[in-house]
Formats: sequence, structure tokens, C-alpha cells
Amino acid sequence: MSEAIYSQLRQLIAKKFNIAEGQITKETEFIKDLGADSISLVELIADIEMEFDLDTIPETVAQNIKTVGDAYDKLLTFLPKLRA
Amino acid sequence: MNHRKTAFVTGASGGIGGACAVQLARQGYDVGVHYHGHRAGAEAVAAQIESLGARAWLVPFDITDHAQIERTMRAFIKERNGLEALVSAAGVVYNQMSGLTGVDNLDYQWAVNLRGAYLAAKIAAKAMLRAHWGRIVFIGSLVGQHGNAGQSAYAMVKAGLVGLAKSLARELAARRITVNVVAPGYIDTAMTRDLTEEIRQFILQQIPLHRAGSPEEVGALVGFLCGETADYITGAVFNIDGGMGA
Repeated sequence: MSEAIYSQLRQLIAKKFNIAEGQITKETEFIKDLGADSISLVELIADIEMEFDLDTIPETVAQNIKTVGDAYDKLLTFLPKLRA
Repeated sequence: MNHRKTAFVTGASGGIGGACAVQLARQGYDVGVHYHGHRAGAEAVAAQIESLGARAWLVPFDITDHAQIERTMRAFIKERNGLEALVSAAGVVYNQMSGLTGVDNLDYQWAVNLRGAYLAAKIAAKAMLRAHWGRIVFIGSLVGQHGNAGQSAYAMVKAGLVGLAKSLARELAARRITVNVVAPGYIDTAMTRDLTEEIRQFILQQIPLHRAGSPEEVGALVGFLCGETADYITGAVFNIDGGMGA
């Protein structure tokens, strides 16, 4: 199940930053590798919340998302039923 | 696709907020009508909106409560699948000399007028970022720029809206989201109707146009700023005051 989540997240990121999914790994950094700026990171958080039907990702968590792996790990913590 | 735009107006049961909500409906927006306590006022505004062929939703919450703002506005935006305009008009004023203003009074004015506006704008902006388009208008006050004896706390928080709007304007400009302040002077609303005749006459003497403004005049300016043609206006403060601040 978590693989499906990762795949869905990669698709979202690929579309947002206009790159091939294959170029995205968990080590991919949003700013350094994908050219994200601060506003596009806020946008990404909003997209993730919408895509995964989350109420909200707290700012203290969002501030620490630097890589795709960070985003995935945080996402899993907000989808608790999938971790069981 | 014929997508109707959605606006959300905080403090829409009040005179200025209500006039803004109705004006936006006139311009083709469906409108979330926020209120807290004054349901009859909100219902009257919603009825006017619906009489214009637009849709209206009554959305009650306490704007000093972060969790309520977050939960309710998010649910509204999700239900509407986006948000194109936010008018932040929720406001409260206590006329009191600073030496007589208690900290509870100060905190409440800050929580309603500024903190609530900040939180509502933050949630709205997130939805607008996804659409790469949006309009945010804060209802400030002329006293936020000129000050007023007996309104130091109110003037302070209304001035804060200017800094907030200018900062958000810079943050969000790249996504075609504009953020402005409309700063009314003396407007004929319930907030000002309680003044004594003596004070009213004194104020009118300070106004070059020698009359109070109407909520509808404020609504018209807000409506313009929420329209397509205001695309190049952001980070600005518009006084609507009959020349009082000139």
C-alpha cells in the first residue's frame, strides 16, 4: 500500500515540476534538484493535502521537508491507517 | 467549463462585509457568508445574494479560534473545490483611551482584526496557489494610517493589516494572486451609528465631501479589486474616506 502512495506522490511531483517520474528518487531535493522556490514548496504542500485528502500538514512539519523522501515519510505519518 | 467563482467574506453580517458580499455576488461570485453571533444579519445578506442569482452559504465560526477557522474554511474550500477571492472584513472596535484599555480588550481587538485576518488569508492563499489566481482584500481603516485618539489599539491592528497585505502581495504575486487593503473612513454602519450627534457633526466637519460614506461604496471598490481588470494592482492601500485623509 505504501508503494502505491509513493507512486502517487512521485506522479504529483513529476507533474508539478514538469520532469519524468524516473528522475525522482527519495534523495531528490526540491530546491537543489528540482529548482523549487519557497512559494512552489507551499504550493506543493497544498497539492499534497488535496491529493491525499489531508486536513492540513502543520507548518512545523512542512518547514522540514527538503527531499522527496522527507515528503513521503511525513505523508505516511499523516495517513496512519496505511501504516498498520 | 462554466466554473462559477467563489468568494469568502469574513464578517459578512456587518454593514461593510455584507455590502462586499452582495457586490461580489453581483459580479458573478458565489459567496461564503461568514458571521459570528449575528445570524440574522448574515441571513439577510445571504438572501440578497440569492436574489441576484448567486449562491450563498452561511458559515459561522469564531474568528479568534484558530482551530475553528482552519476546520471551517478548509471544509468550505474543499466543498467548493477552490476559492478565488477572500474579503477579510471581520472587525471589532472599542473606543477607549489607551490608559483605560485593558490587556483583554487589546488582545481581543488584535485577535479579531489582525490575527484572524492573517489566518483566514493563509488558508485562502493556499487554495489560490493551486489555481494560480486569486484576490485578497483586507478591510483596514483610515485610522490605521492617521491614528485616532481613543482608538490606539484599533489603529495599531488596522495598521498591521497594511504590513500583512504588502508582504503577502510580494509572496504571492508570482501566482497572480493580488492582495490589497481598502481603508474606509467614516462609513454609515452599525459601528458608527451609535455616536452622539455632537461627535457625528465633528467628524463630518473633517470630511471634505461632508458626508458619511455608504457600505455599498466600499463594496464597489472591493468588487473592483476582486475583478479581472484589477490584475495589475497589488500591495496597495485604497482610502475611501471622502477626502478625510487627504
